[in-house]
Amino acid sequence: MIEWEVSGNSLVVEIAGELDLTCADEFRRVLDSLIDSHPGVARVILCMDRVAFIDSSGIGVLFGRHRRMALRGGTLAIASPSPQAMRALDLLGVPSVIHVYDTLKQALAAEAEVRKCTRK
Amino acid sequence: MHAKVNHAKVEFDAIPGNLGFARVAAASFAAGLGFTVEDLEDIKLAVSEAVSNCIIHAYPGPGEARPTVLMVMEARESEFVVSIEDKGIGIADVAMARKPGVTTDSERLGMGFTLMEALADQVDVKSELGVGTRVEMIFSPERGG
Repeated sequence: MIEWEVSGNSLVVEIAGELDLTCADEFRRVLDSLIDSHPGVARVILCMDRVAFIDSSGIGVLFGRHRRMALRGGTLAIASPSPQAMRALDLLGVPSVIHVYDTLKQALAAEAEVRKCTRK
Repeated sequence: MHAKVNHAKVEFDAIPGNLGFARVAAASFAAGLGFTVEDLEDIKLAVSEAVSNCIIHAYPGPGEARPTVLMVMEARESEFVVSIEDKGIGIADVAMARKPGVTTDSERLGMGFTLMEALADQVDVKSELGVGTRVEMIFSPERGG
């Protein structure tokens, strides 16, 4: 299940459920559609506190969307991953490539900080 | 060599819709063997990777036989052993396939074996071209993982 809202310059996407091979293609298609329909946002924040399970099929989608955002000069971040999700992200070295924040508030604050810096 | 004290065997179609079933079956079997909740999540992740490999790679084309995955679970005195076996095309170079980032599909990470090796105490892969592949993983409750 995916819900989303625009907050400032960020597209905040709430993800829930199990992200494996079963739904990886659908997950990819929905995220790409959301990203493409919001050309003005500089950052996508994926909230993963309700992700009950993720494996390398799901994480592959995250890396792909990270590259997609980078190609248009934006970024992708992860907020509040569930313990299982954080374990899988750590094992695959995701935090060294994609910013992972403990909370959505922290992710949004970091985004605001970036905008403040770019206005100087 | 540990004595086998319990075992279960399940065969299912090699389709993505059976991934959740395979994960839950393995974790349910292992649940009474002294693993923590976090350990059981690791077992689910490792099984998911092994079964995904069967679904994605073992049966690339239409064949006469119905593509299936055989999962055998064993409780030994201080271990949980799970093997995931397919009768697919096999892996030409197992050592290469186990390297991080090696994949036949640009949309995938090629990290399945890397994850299995990080999660299990021991991973053994046997494969024969045209015959199939068997991945065996061993987990111990006290691995501290």
